[in-house]
Parts: sequence; C-alpha cells; structure tokens
Amino acid sequence: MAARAFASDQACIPNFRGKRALVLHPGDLNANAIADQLGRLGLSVSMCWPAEQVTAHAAEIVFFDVDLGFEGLFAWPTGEAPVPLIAVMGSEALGRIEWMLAQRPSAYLTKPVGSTGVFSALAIAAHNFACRRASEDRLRQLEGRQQKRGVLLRATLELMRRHGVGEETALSMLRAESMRRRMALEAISTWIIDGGWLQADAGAGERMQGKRPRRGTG
Amino acid sequence: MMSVGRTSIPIGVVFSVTGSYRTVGQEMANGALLAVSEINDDPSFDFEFQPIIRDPGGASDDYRIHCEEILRDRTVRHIIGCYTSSSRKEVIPVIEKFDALLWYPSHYEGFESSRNVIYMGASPNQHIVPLLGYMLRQFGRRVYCLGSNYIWAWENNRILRGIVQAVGGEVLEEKYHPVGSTDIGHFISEIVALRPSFIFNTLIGDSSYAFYRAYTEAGISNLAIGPKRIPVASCSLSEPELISIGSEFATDHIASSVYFQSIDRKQNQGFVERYRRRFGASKVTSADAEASYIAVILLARAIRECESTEIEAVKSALRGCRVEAPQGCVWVDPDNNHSYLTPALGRSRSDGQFQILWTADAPVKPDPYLVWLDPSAVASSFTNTADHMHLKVVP
Repeated sequence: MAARAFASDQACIPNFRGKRALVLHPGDLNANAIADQLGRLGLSVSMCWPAEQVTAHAAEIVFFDVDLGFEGLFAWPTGEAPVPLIAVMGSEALGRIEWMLAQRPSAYLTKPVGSTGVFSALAIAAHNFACRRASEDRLRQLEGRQQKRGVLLRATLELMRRHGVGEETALSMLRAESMRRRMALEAISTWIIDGGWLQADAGAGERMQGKRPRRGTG
Repeated sequence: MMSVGRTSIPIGVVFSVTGSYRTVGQEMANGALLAVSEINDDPSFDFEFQPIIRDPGGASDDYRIHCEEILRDRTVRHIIGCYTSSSRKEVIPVIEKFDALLWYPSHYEGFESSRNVIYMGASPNQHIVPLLGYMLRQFGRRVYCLGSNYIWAWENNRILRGIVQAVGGEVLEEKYHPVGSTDIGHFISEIVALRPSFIFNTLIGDSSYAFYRAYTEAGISNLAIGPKRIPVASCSLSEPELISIGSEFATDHIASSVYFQSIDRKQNQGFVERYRRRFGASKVTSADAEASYIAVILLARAIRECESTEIEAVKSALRGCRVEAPQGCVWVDPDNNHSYLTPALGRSRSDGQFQILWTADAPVKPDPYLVWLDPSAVASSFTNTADHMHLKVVP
C-alpha cells in the first residue's frame, strides 16, 4: 500500500493504482458506490457476499460490512488482519461498534456511502496500518531488548564479583570487549554468564579458560 | 417535458460578479448567459432556459444560502455555478441533499468525484501536469510557489511538490497570501534573493494582479528577475485578467489552459464574435467563459435527448453528447463526471492575448485523482513542445 504517503518529508502523490480490494458487503448501493469509486482510483475490485472464513491472500485491502459482520467472517484471529481493513458502518448500536473495534480496522466509512470518503479512507487505512506495523515491530524489538537487559545485569554483577570493581568499571569492561570482538553487548554478557573469561580477566591475574565466544549470537 | 408550446426550464446561475474574483465570475456568468440565449433562440429545442441569477459576492456561505434558496423550489434541478473550490465544497452538500446537479465550470485541483457534479473545467492532469512538464524542461527545477491561502493553491502546490521531488528538483519556498490582499511586495525581494528557475503562481483575483504588476515592474530595474528571465507560470491566468493586470505588466506570463481566445478554429471564431456582439466589442473571451458556455449547451442537449430534467436521465443522456466547442471536441467522461478537454499552454503577449506554445494532439481523458500519473516522467515525457519562449510568435 502507499504507506506513509502523507508524511511531510516526502511529497509523493498517493496512488492505489493496480491494488486489489475485496469488498465484503451485500451488493447494494453502498457496495456499488465503494466499487465505483475504487474503480476510478485504479484498484481492481472483488465483491463477495455472503462470505465466511475469508483469507486475505487475494486482496491488499478489505472493506467489510459492520452491520452484518460476524465472528468467523475472517479466517485470521480476531484483530490480527494481515492487511488494512476498512469498516463500513451503518448501525451505531453498541454491539456492532464493539464487534467492529475488535477487528481493529485501520479506517472506517459511514453509510450511506457517497462520492466522498473512499479515497480518504484508503489513504488513512494505508497510513494507519503501516504505522501499526511499525509500532508492533518496535514493540517486539524493545521486548527482546528488555529480556536481554537481564542478561547484561547478571554479567555486570559477575564481573564486579570476579574483579572486585564497581558497576561503572564492570560495564566499561563489557563495552570494551563488545567493541573489540565486534559482538553485541548482550552476546558478550551471555558468554560471560556461561563462564567465559575476558582478556581483562586474564590481565587481572586469572587464567583464561580457553573458551571463546561464538560470534553472531547477538 | 410538456409538448405544448415551449416549456420554461429554470436553471440556477450562481457566480460572484462582485468581490475579489469578480473578473472571472463575470466571465463565467457571461458564458452561461450567452449559451442560454443561444438555446432560447434555437428552434431545435422545444424548451427554453429561464436563468435564476445570483451573486454571492465571493462569500462562501452565500453560495450555500443562494443555492439552497434556489433548490427549495423543487422545479430547479440544475445549477451552473461556483469558481473557488471552497465555494464548491460549500455547495455540494446542498446539491446532494436536493439531489440536483451542479455544473461546475472551473479548472480545479481534483481529488473529488461527486455524482451530483458535472466538472466542466480542467482536472490536474489537464492543467498543472502539462504546465510543469513544460516549465521543468524549459526553465529548470528550482521552483518558487506563491498562492492565495486556500485549497486551490495548497493542493496544486502539493501536486507540484510530488512531481518536483520525483524529478529531483527543489521547492524553494511555498508562500501563501490572504485571498483579496494586494500587499505583495515582500515576496519580490525573496524571489530576488532565491533566483528560482520559475515561479508557480496560484494567487487568485486582485492578489494575483498585484503580484504580476509588482513583479514585472521589479524586472525593469533588476534584470536578474522579471517575466523574461524568471517566468511566472499559472494554471488560471486568462485573457480578461490580462486586462485587469494592465497591458504594460501583462506580457510574457505563462498559462496552462484548455482554452485561449487565440485558438484558431472556426467554432472559436464564432464564439468570440457572438460573445462580443452580446457583451461589447472590446470584450475578450476566456477558459472560464467557455466552460460555463459549454456546460449550458451540454445540459440543453442532454435534456433534449432524454426529455427530462431529472439528473439520472440527464447524466445518462450526456453519454451520447459531444460538443464541437471553441477549444475542440468536449464530452463528459461517465467514469467520473469530469470532461475530456484539450490542454494547451500559452504565453501572454502585449496585445492581451496568448501565443499558443503547445496544444495536446487530442482531447485528454480527465484523471481527477492522478491515478495514471507517473510523477518522475512528467518532465521527460513532455516532448511535444512545438515551440520555445523565444521562437517567433505564431499569430
């Protein structure tokens, strides 16, 4: 999709030409209005209703009817759509909104669908979906780092014990070794916890154990 | 339609003939009214149009109020009107509420396609895209943008940035000025300092005229700038505006338009003659007048075809209607309600007319969402330039 199409530093003109859209909605004026507008915007459109256990392999963006939507409409786990979803809403009843929110759509349209709204919904959905993907990737990265931080702490304590140095010095030793061996700090830490010895350890009068850290474990 | 005698069909004609962009508003009103009298004098139509004329004075709210008042009388199904995009956006909800049809005669920034609007003016692929192709190729890629502070300027500059960045150029500045304000001098010193390849002007009305005057004047004392050295390009500059600017300041400006009075075509000669006969021998025609003229002609033909004023019937009938207009053949694209038009580029001359620099080979399909644009190819694909600034004037 035209991710980040509206980011201020890049003025690329958002274009959805050639993208495949799937419209899960009974074939009425609303569905036609969406399909017509998607056609004008250069997308290829498939209409499908009734539908069940829909997979996204055939589409890069999915419009779905909130009024008739049900658990089991999509094949993916609730809220984990692999492509941007656009909710098409008529009823504003609590249950419908609740079900719609659980699908985590990237944008929505209200019925009756007019000649405005489809283009902005596409742009918003593409943007939100890309932002969410980026946030989720970042979150995974941070969680990984968080886990590794425990390893770092244990390695620091180990060096403090071996050498009788303070926390700052132990951390400096870790960093120096990390740079010398061009390995991630976390990988060096794991190696130390597993009983590895630094050159600095040997310099401090202790014997090298002959174990060498394996590269690329970070 | 009734068959006894001639039915009178009321149509709204809503243009600002007062206010800051009155020059263009008057042109549009004139074009529409000229077509109304031609239809009313033509025995091949068994109806006549009865124009309901309103002047919103350039105030967006007043457009809405006038249109609502006209449409509340349910016999009116069609309004020819609006110039600025803000006025059109204001009117569309009213038009949609009454399920009427707005015949919008202005070029605009695109990214819209209402089923209740027939867009007679140029879409961005018919105005800014060919203009940029020419300017980037002939003058360079460092652009200074100056516009009135509203959607027409913002969105054209947004399209411009997309294209200029894609071809590796640079937008030096993007400056906006309040609609109607003529306090414009400080932009000149900035242009002197920046020395852009060209200036892209999206100012409208009095602000634009003030800028053309100040800039041309500055070019007399400072030979590094001025329209001959660093030209001003516009998607809206028209013949009546050259008069408003004043002939000593109105030369060598570049305009993109689907119509110039200097187009050599017998349909255009007839149009200019009839226009002058009706509005005065000294009058000039313009794209704005031509578009509202075509709008009324197409409306009349579609009504004659389907024998109804209801909008779905009229839109269906439009599919079969092609007008040999002053600019060339014009028809409405049923895909998006925008018009097939023939883009052209012109350079203003001292006689208040445009020398035509380039004309498209055939009417161009409207692409209001720029779906088919390849921004990086805009400058290189523009190989059809028949002329250069310094070549001899073709009369």
